[in-house]
Amino acid sequence: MDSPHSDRVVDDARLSRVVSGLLVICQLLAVAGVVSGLLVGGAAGRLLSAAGVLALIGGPFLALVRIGVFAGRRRSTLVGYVLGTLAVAMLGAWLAR
Amino acid sequence: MGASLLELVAVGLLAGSFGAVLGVGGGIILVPGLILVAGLPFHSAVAASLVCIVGTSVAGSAVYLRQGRVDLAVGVRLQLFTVFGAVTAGLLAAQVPAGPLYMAFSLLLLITAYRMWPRRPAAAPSPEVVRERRPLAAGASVGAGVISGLLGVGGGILNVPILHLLLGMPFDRSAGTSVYMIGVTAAGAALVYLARGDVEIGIAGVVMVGTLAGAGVAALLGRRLDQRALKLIFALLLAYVAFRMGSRGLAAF
Repeated sequence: MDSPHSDRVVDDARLSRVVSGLLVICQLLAVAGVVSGLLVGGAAGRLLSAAGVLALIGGPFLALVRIGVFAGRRRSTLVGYVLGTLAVAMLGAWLAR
Repeated sequence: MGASLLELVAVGLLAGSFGAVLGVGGGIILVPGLILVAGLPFHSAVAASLVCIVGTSVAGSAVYLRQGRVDLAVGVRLQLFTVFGAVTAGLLAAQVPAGPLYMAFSLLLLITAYRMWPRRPAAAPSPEVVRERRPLAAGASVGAGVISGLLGVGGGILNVPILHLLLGMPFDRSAGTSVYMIGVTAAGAALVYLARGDVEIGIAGVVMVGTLAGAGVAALLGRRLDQRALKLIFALLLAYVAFRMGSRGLAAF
């Protein structure tokens, strides 16, 4: 953690564990959604699979929000990067509709 | 569905394990794999590949974060630029003249492959040099995002050289940070494709289960692999992608 890039605000073992835990939960939800979707089949199955895929896609954004909340408490400029990234991603999805 | 569930999961397993170890998303395997195995057209393969790359990132970074191999400070900062590139490319994919773009990226990747070739380790850059290179790293990250959004790859193919060559991060930490970064990049581009209804949920979901399993296991075992060998494989991979993009660019003229 002593590289010239490191920022002690976010190089926190606890934050890493929390973000890692969030990503594991998203994985479990995604697998549960896709597998149950395959088992159920039909329109309901398709809906379950879509929910699984959305749970997975939401994972990195959820992790980013958690990092932003963590950094925000320490008044880091990283909050700006987090908000900017989320805004660009959401704007892209809105423009694509 | 043109392929069996087992074949789709196998494509995902292969792409996930390969992508997690090298810090790329695995799109280099996923896009051709989905075209050849599942019979998807290129555009749908790119869309499904982006969803699966999120899987590689989520499973890989869950492990790398616990191992302390992700530099969150750098990752979060550069992510803004990669997501901007990926979303813009996703929105403009149909309007962009592909030929010159592919040729330019191909040349860039060839130069990067040469720079990534394993040689005697150079001294790590000083914090001042790293600070001076940050704007360049940000600009290059937009390029990584554009590659991701246009080709359905994770962008790690440029993220790793940016982190390793420009910012002087050790290779294994560069790969770990890149795996984390490609999650948001690919998710941003995947949202664009999803909003347009381009994602084949049935196929993407099944392949995604394979990438989750492959990336998780590979991230756990990958630390035992030789760094020099990994750099060699990465340089060869870059040269291969440069060749593929160059040929596609020539065909588009």
